[in-house]
Amino acid sequence: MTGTAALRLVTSPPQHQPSEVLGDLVVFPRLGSTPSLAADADDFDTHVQRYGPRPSASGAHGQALITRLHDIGLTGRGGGHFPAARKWEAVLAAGGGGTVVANGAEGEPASAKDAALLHSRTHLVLDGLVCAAEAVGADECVVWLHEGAHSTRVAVQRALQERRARRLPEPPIRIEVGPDRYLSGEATAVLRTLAGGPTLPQLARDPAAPWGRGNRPILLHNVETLARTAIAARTSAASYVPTSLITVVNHDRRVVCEVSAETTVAEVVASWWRPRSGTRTAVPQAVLLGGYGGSWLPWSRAASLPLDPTALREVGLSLGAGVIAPLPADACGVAEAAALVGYLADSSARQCGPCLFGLAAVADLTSALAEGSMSRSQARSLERFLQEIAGRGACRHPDGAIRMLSTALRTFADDVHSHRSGRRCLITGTRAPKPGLLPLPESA
Amino acid sequence: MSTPQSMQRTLSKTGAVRLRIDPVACDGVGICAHLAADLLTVDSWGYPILPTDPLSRRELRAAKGAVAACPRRALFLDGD
Repeated sequence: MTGTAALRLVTSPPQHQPSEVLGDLVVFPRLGSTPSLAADADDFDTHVQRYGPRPSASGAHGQALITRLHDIGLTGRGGGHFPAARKWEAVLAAGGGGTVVANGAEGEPASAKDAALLHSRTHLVLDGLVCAAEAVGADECVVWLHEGAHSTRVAVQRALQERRARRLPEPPIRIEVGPDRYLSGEATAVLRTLAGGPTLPQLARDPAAPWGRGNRPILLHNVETLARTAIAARTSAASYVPTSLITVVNHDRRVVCEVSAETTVAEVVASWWRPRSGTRTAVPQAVLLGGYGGSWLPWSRAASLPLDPTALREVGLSLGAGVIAPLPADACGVAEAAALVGYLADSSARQCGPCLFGLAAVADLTSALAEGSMSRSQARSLERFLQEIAGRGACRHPDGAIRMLSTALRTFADDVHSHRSGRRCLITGTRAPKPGLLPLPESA
Repeated sequence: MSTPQSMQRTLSKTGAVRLRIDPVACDGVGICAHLAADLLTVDSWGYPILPTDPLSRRELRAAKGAVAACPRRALFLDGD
């Protein structure tokens, strides 16, 4: 792969002031094109200049770091937002040691933050990985990527070479890759692979030891969680600035930005999202928050929400993987939701019945709804299936698909009613409006 | 993994035992739904829907029968 994608740094100042902890704002020109952030990548010396040397996390330093992660409330940025420190404690409770994994296999088609981070702040991620390894006594580290993420792999390889050349006192770090599928970055799929199995999700029978009884412990974190760990290791809890990496889906581009905890959805959208030309209304009608397994919210509810994992959890929402996908005022949310649930059904690992058969059935029914050909009995089936599927997979994939669809049916209720009664779409005025505003990989 | 070892975990501190399933292992054979019809139902595709609450003593007996009969060893009992 050559870096021909015309990726550029955004130079126009945003209306709000993003925190500068992680740095820059980047634009990915088009879904699937190779990001070429390498030009902006920190080499090791720039990294140390920017952040200072990595502090030790061995022994008492490790304990202090775990306390700090508790204090700053760091949660998993892959989307689950599980408290990071509790994962470390679980490994220590199991005797420590084992492997620490930086999960950079960003399956969410709308998200680009992990790729951006691995290209531009590779050493920060690796510092966090090594800190975690020291704190739990792990003797090996893995960076987990999609096999097709060539430029990301090159960026990580280059950083690893630099670290080896400097003979840094740290455990060996190797790259491992999984198939280019949505669920290859699902945590249990990574654990299963490292235990010698296929790259498919599995049931974590004991949530406190998801690596499986009898196996060596594996501590797995999303790369953003590790970058934040590396920053936390260098600061006190009081001076840590809580920020989040956000991907704004801007039609065929994705903008990755870093925001403070006070930044609202409206501020990010005003700064980084533009309605299509010819659209009269400047604000979106709704926002999909978190990712394609996230929640649709009407603009009136979404606009004032702060992009803070804790604040969102308190109102029953989740920042998820940090995706904000605004829906223009002139687009059909029913058609978009139908396309997304179709993609999510196709992305099933096809292991669990409720996911394999349930999501496929739900996708067919939603597609019928979008086309205005849904019968009364189909509508009843859809309602029943939405109740039946949630919580019944080995992983959270079906739950996310159901959440996305259920919140879409609520958010676009008026238009759903119109589609259901076989009338024209309320928004577009057409029958069977075409989706396509939210990016999906060409082959799911 | 549904070995005697994991069965031993059911002797929990609080005594609260739940019926759980590994949905990857489950093929929707349906024997459990026949053996423990009061305890679990099946969904639209024939896969069991389990109670989420801890089992009563009587339910536990039925659950044990279903666990033992599952040809895919997908069902298991889990204590807190």
